[in-house]
Amino acid sequence: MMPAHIHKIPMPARWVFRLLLPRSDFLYLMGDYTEIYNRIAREKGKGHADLWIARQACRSIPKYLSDALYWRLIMLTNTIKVMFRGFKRHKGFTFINFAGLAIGLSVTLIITFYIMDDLKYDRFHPNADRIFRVLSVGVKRGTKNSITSGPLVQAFKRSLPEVQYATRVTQAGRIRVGPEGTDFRNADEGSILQVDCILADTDFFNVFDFKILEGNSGEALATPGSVFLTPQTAQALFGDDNPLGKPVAVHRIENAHVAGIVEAPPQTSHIRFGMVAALIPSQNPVWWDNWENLTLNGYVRLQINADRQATQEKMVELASKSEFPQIFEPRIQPLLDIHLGSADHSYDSLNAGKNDIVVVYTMGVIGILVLLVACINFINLSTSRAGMRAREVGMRKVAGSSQSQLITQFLGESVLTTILTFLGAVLVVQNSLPYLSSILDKQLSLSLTRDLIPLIALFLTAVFIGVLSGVYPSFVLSSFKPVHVLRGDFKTGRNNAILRRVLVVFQFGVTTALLVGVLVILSQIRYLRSMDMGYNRDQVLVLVNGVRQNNALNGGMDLSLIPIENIERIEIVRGGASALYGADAFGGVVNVITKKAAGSRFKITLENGSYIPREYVSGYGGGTTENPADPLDLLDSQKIGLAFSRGGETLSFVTTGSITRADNGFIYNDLNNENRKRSTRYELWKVK
Amino acid sequence: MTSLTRQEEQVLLIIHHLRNSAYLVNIRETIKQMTGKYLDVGTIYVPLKRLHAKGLLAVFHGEPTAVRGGKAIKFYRLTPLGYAALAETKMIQDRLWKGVMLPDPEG
Repeated sequence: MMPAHIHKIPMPARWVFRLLLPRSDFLYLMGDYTEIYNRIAREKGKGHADLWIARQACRSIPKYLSDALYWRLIMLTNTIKVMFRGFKRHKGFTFINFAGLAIGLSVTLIITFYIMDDLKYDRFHPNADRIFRVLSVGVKRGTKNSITSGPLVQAFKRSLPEVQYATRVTQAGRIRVGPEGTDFRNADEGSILQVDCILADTDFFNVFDFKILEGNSGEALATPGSVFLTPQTAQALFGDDNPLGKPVAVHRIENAHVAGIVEAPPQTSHIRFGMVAALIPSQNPVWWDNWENLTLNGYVRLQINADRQATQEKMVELASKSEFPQIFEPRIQPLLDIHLGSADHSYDSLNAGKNDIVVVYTMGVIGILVLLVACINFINLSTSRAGMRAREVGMRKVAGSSQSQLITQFLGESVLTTILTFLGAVLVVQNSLPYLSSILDKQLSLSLTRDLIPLIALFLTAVFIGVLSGVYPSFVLSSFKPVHVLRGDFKTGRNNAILRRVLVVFQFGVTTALLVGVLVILSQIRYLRSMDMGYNRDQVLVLVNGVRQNNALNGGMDLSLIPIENIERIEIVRGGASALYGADAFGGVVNVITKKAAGSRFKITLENGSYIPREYVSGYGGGTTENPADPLDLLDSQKIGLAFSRGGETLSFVTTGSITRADNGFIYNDLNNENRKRSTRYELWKVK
Repeated sequence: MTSLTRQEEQVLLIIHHLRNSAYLVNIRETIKQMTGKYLDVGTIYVPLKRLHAKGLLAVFHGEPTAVRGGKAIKFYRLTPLGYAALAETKMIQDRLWKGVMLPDPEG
């Protein structure tokens, strides 16, 4: 009797059987299974038969696994026991082996966190790929400035359809903030906060994704005096009261009131603030509403499908037809490039914690080198000890151990070692990160929950290192011939020694290079710290092109802000020069003369007016009478000027006229718009 | 001689009943007929292998057939040692059962 059709056992079941059934009887058993399977299929249908075979297959798995686990576990216990005996017997060796690898892993871990921190910058904005910063790039030399002029940013928003939002931002530095009615002239210092403040216009919260937790949209930033506080600032000022709409005293900002609460920017934001205040260009038209003054940071958010290159070309064209200084042209820089790609930018103060991509690459290379050296060290120590373990290998082989079993044993040992050292390294890193954070000026920390994924990745790397560094020793060790070992005429092979020498030389080379690097850096730092600068920085007046730079507010001038290639010469007046320059020149004067632009300018200005010391200006609440040299003393003046200038290939003639009225109040609060400035430019000649 | 387990005893007896055509599948069928339930293939294979290893069973091979997917059959029969083991088990059983009166489970 031949059945019409013979069903084969389905594929998955066949795989399981192939894996689990005893080799010797595999074919007979498959025959038995096929016969029963077909009988069930014939009597009850194929579905039942499939169910039956699936049950048969599944039932055999647990037993197989428990068997496998049981024997592996026994082997593992033995491996661990032998390993720890080895540790106990060779304490020095074990210490060096562990310490070397642990230090290597710790350094790599720290570098990984360092790099990860740098790469995380500004990625928290969901639309980061559409946000750009507007730069002003010198047409001739390509010098990059991170600032631009306010009207240009507004023009982008008005005239370019690709630009969805555009915002003007400027850093206001640490500003004193206190409860309503605080008189900053003689306030009790305990009640005053120092808050990092930026000024921004209405589109700020549209361009960036800083979350507004409470209060209105960013439109509030159109109202003079509006401020957005971070929860921390609000907590410090108002405690648990609802701060919304409440007045607050902010130094140099009139009628300040809380318009909303905004989530504090994370440590990985290049813009950091404790407070965002309204930027009102009409309050300071000379600086903020002037095409020719590059004073503000501009950011744009492009439409979803906008082409970056085309947009930039349109921007350049727009700027070339405007009053924007023609020695510059606008360029846009992607948000994600700002942190690492602005190393050569000038006027880049609104870029907290900025780093150089070159530093990141260098750190990466150092991390890999250190890890490599640690691995090589581990490999060398393991193979050099091979001779000591020859007898163990001999005995194991005589007792019936196969080479593959020995390889597994030795690989297991090195993987276990790396896992142990990895745990040690994590401990070391966790305890050293707080100190390193202050040295590196970065907030690095290791949290097991937040950094779980990178930790798992690094753990796998450690296991991989274990395998990598265990492979060679395990093959060498397991290939020993028991006859030679036990008869006593055992020698390590010549090849083995050569490879080891090569590795040792490489290791020493890399280590020496790294050490030399560290020594050079150390001596540089020591030099910077301890070298006599030739002058005492206190009480020295700094002038740039004869214009006073230090003042009571910023205490001094950061000379590094002046790009060194822009300096023509530096004039120094040693000793007291107070008679000529005022009280702040007690220690001397440094006058930095910058290079003249490629073009030249000839200018005549006529001016009359009166000098009004700060104390007489109403509405301005800064400084004290003991501190008379406040730079914000005002001139109530009228000015008229003529200038001939040659910029690039154009000779032009500019007339300017301005009226500044200070008796009405502080210039910043020029609400009646009594301060006027007009300049008209006539192009006389163009060489083409 | 080591005593047989219940399963080994059953398997040996059934192989005896099936004469020269005993193999895994029909042993399983016969157990089903006698006890009313199917055992797993593995549950029968393990005692078969053990009995063979102890020398209580001998093995001979059949031809591959289509119904088995082209695989050969492994037949089993009892060796003299197997019969001796059965005899001893029977003796022990009789000794244990002597004088025990139980109600008939089917009646």
